[in-house]
Amino acid sequence: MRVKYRKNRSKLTLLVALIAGLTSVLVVPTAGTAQASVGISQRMGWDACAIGSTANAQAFWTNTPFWNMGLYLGGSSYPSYCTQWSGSQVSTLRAQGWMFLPLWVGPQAPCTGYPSRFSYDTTTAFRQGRDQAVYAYNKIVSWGWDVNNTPLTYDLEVFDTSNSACLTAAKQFISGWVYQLHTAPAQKAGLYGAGCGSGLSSFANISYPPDFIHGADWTDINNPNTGTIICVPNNLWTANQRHKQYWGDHYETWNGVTLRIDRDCSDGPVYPGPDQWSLGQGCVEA
Amino acid sequence: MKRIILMMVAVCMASLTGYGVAQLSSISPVAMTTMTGAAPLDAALVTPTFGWVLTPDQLFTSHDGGHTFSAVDVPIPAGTARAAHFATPETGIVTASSGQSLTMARTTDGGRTWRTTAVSGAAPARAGYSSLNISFGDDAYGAVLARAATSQAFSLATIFITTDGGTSWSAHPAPEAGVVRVEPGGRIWLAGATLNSSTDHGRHWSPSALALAGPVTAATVSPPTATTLPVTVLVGDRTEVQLLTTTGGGHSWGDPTRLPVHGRTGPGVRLAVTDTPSGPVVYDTVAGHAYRQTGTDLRPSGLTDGVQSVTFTSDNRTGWALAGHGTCGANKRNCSYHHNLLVTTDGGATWRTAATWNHQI
Repeated sequence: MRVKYRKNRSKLTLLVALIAGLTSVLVVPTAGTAQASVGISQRMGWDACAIGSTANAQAFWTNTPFWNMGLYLGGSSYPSYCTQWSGSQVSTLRAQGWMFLPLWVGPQAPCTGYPSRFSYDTTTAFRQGRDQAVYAYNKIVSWGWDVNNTPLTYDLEVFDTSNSACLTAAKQFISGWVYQLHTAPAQKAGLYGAGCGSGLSSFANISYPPDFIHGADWTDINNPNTGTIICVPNNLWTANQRHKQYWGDHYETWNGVTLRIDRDCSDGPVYPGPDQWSLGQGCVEA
Repeated sequence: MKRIILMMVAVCMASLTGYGVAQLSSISPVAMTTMTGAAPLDAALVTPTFGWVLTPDQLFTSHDGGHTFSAVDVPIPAGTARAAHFATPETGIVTASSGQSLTMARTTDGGRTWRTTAVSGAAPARAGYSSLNISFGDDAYGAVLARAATSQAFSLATIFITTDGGTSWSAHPAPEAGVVRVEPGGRIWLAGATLNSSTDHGRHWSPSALALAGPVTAATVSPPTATTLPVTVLVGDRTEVQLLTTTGGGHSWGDPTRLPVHGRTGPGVRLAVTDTPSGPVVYDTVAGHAYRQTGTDLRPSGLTDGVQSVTFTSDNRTGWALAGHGTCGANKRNCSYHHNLLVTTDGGATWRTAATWNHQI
């Protein structure tokens, strides 16, 4: 386990980092064996903040089309009614066979009404993005994950992308998120959001652009193809850098268990490896 | 043979009158109809003969209790954020989201003609809506609850209210996403993780106090029935429905009857509950189980896994259920998701599949 080294920090930031680092060091891993930290999946998955138990997750694994599971790590915007996974539960999920799409749900854009928001001030927003990256990093460290190149995705909900001050702040925040995750030992930094409403394409050319996206596009629940995400041009994030949430909020029943889920299809990084390639599930064009 | 000929005539007539009998691979008065196209979002039986099925891109109506279906053209956008309500076979409203607004389409002639209205949304629906839920208490008062399109970590919604039967609508932020139920006279219930009500057309909301039994991991509230408030509760890994009663006019609910069920559910899932003259009936998500408030398992035959909604007509004998479940072959291959529309004519003792949508995954 390594503690992140942070670049260009003020004394205050250094103090925060040291505390964060100490926290990381003091955490006892609960999963005993490290695993290859990233693979490229081109398979189908699902996500739900409220799963309830590892037994429910098992029911969605056995004899189902699902290989990947969106795993909410936490964050200031992560509600109490969602499942709060412990390290041992995550180890159980991994033993079931799941590949994870880890999601962090922290502060949202300052022009939204969410209780937890980042700042309009660009310098502050950048720093807040870095802080969130540290928190997410510490979470996976606490679970004993191999942190090298592990994909971590920030959940940035819809905001008023026509509000230039808000968009600028969001760009700086995500830049901070990506910058910090790229600090050795680097992770892969992802961005989840609505293809249009979160302005995903706006983040392609920021100072530190996300390594991959997880785009919500519920316009056609019969089209899981990651190559088409509404409002995201096809020439962006083309090299196994996309997950697509193609069917939102609905019930599904598998093996006698009913969950409220979103469906996802992948052509991008998951934790852990090894690489998982296409089964012809429609996540990539034939 | 005579019935088949009659049906063929009906199909031809429907086509001539502007209806389309669409997406049906077989039509038979006795056999199950296999549907192609998008899976159903909702369905309801309104009279013993008239019912409707709403999909992301179609409205199907049946005038023979579910033996045959006709596709009705409704001038609303396609998508999963859609809802429908029919008070009679002639009078209905179908709504769909388009960006931050809803299109409301009303008919008073059984779907031959529609009058549409665009209604603007309210914050926080900049992303548009992921699902809609509609209820009318009487001819005047109705509501559409529109869940904002967010990740599952958020539960935001806008409620659209009408007090004139759908001619005009006003939009207000809702306390949370969930299911809406409007009473005659206009009181609105909003059931999510909690229960809220409004008596001033959605401007202000009052939370109800719920006294659930036992240590509860998660609770998902359904709107009140005639006599009880059903709450789907997780106790550890187990799912049960608690039926609460009120002595405080709906401000507080307690004295729960606990009904453990066979199926397991995750937080946010609510089991279907119907009102009957003998009290509420709870439908399990595992096939073949439904429970009276006394705990008696009615063991209905023919119900499939994953019952999501059940409606009965006023005769309390004829009803429809919508259910869905997935299956795969070995090694996670040859997977399909099966949506079934089921029909009963004996009060729910026996069910048959009237229509099925099988989607290969």
